[in-house]
Amino acid sequence: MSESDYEEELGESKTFLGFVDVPISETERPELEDTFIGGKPIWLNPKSPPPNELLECKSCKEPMHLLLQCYANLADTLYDRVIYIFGCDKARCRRKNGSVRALRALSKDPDLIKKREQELEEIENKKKAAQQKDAETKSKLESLANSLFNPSDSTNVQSNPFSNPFAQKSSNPFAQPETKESAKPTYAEVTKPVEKPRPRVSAEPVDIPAYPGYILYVDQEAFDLKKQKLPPLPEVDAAASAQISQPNPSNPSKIPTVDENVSKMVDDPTFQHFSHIVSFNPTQVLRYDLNGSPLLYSSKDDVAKLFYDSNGRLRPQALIPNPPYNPSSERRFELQLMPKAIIDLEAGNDDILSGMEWGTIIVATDLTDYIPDQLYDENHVGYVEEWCGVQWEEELKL
Amino acid sequence: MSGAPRQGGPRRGPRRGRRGQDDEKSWVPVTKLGRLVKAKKITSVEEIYLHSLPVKEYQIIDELVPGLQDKVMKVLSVQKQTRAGQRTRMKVVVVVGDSNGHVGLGIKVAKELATAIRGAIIIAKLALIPVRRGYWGSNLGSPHSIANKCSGKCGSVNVRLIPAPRGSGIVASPAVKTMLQFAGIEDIYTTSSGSTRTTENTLKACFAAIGSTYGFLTPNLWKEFALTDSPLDVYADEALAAKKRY
Repeated sequence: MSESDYEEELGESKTFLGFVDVPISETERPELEDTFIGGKPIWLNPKSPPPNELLECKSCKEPMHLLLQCYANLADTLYDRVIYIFGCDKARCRRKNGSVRALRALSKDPDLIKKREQELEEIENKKKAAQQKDAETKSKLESLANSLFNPSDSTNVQSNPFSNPFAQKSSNPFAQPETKESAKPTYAEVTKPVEKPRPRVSAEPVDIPAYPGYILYVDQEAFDLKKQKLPPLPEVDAAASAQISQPNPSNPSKIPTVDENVSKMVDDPTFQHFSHIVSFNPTQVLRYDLNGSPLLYSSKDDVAKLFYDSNGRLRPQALIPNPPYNPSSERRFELQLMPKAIIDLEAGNDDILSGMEWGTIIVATDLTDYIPDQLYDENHVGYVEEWCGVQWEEELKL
Repeated sequence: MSGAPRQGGPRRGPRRGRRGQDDEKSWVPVTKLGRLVKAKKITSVEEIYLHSLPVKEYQIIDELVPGLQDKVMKVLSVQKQTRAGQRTRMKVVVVVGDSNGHVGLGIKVAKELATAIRGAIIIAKLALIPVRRGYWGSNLGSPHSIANKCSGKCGSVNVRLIPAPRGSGIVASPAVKTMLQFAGIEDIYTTSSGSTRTTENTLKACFAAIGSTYGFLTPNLWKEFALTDSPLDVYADEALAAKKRY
């Protein structure tokens, strides 16, 4: 039953996919606003890297490699927001808790936010001005028409009694004070605690080892049937298809046999769905879908149990743990890293056997995008660890 | 960043490079086994069987077993009574094989025939098993039959495979015959009992029988190892001495 549910036609997808664009090199350097895999992380402020304990593997206590940096600001916000995923590359840390970690970083620089606010307002004003202009020309045309077609009305050629008297003016008289007002500090800004920037960590920032890096190119997911790679259909024997037999009530197909179980094991619907969705865009390395649902790699592990109940149905509310720094809030799915990234990150490495073994890495972040005030440092940059679920592959023992 | 109302999510921009256009044509593995096969670290399907590795991508089999043929053995429609009437789905039975010691059986139900056939072929490839072939009499030439009698059962159907002398051909019902041909067996006798007209169960029983060919550890497969003396013999003197002490 659940197998057939995946055969529904795929509608529009709100997911954004990341594809490898160019390798990071001397000429192609990533900026803060880029999304990339591998390479070295770019902190929101070069002077405020995250505390070292967020960058080390919880299993071996050594600094981890950067897997992904994703510049992911939220819609209608003015601060910068970046998601980092770090992973330990040691074979003995594989499948251990804390060998892959996700960080969320915010930079709430008041100057920058103010600048952006002003820019936003300017644009609004320009828009308003353009609207005014439109109205003006319209009224002018109307008055012209009036004067043309009502020549007897000679008392007032110029004015249309119904025209907007304010429309004559070139700009909105209220536009200017508005910007001034916003430049004034708001109550919230005044009352904000100022004395509490996090003390700078005295420890040396760790040197983070790096995989080869690639800048990503982000596009909306499209299900192009022509691009999909499908195994070719064999010619169905005319005889076989012609004699489509009707269900036989005495057909003893209900008896589950050993082979049935084998066939079920081979036909893992979750993985089949995964590869079906991936087959439309095989080179995707990143799926970004805020508030969406992840594309699961397997249905058997603990991560899958957070999203599916014991009957194999999608839970209406995933059981992702609430953020410890903001317990009243919830976490929502944000992005996931796809296994194609492993091929790119390990491109120079010939030893695939000791390489990475995850199928997908799922990151869920705080619904309210909150970071406690004491975690911001003097550069207004704060880092917090987010929930990160790794679906490991079935173990290979060679 | 311009001050326009900002979109959420990663920045969408024009591509910098035009790389990987032809990359999209080839297979992109998502499992470690797939990556190993793609990088030609694993070159034969026997290595996979030796370590009992789970194969999750059918492309692995395509890569390692070239010349795989497939045949749709049976198409039937199955119905389920629902509140809104009946729901009809297509059930397809597919056999794949390279006629050289590998055969697979796949069964899939789907709303559409094409989807069902595709799914069944994928399942059949993932369920590809090795066939142990052998001789009826003396070990002359290449193996032509199976090494020993074996049987399989599914539902009421029993299929028994019996080695046959060279030149006998495959003596079996059409469905079983196709499967044995795909498996690469040249001479064999079969007997079957039960409701063999249910092709699905007959094929499953035959598949189980073929799968059990490697299940027998015949004497010629016994591992050679040098016989060592039993520790009771080696240390007999010491044990005797120790016993005397008390």
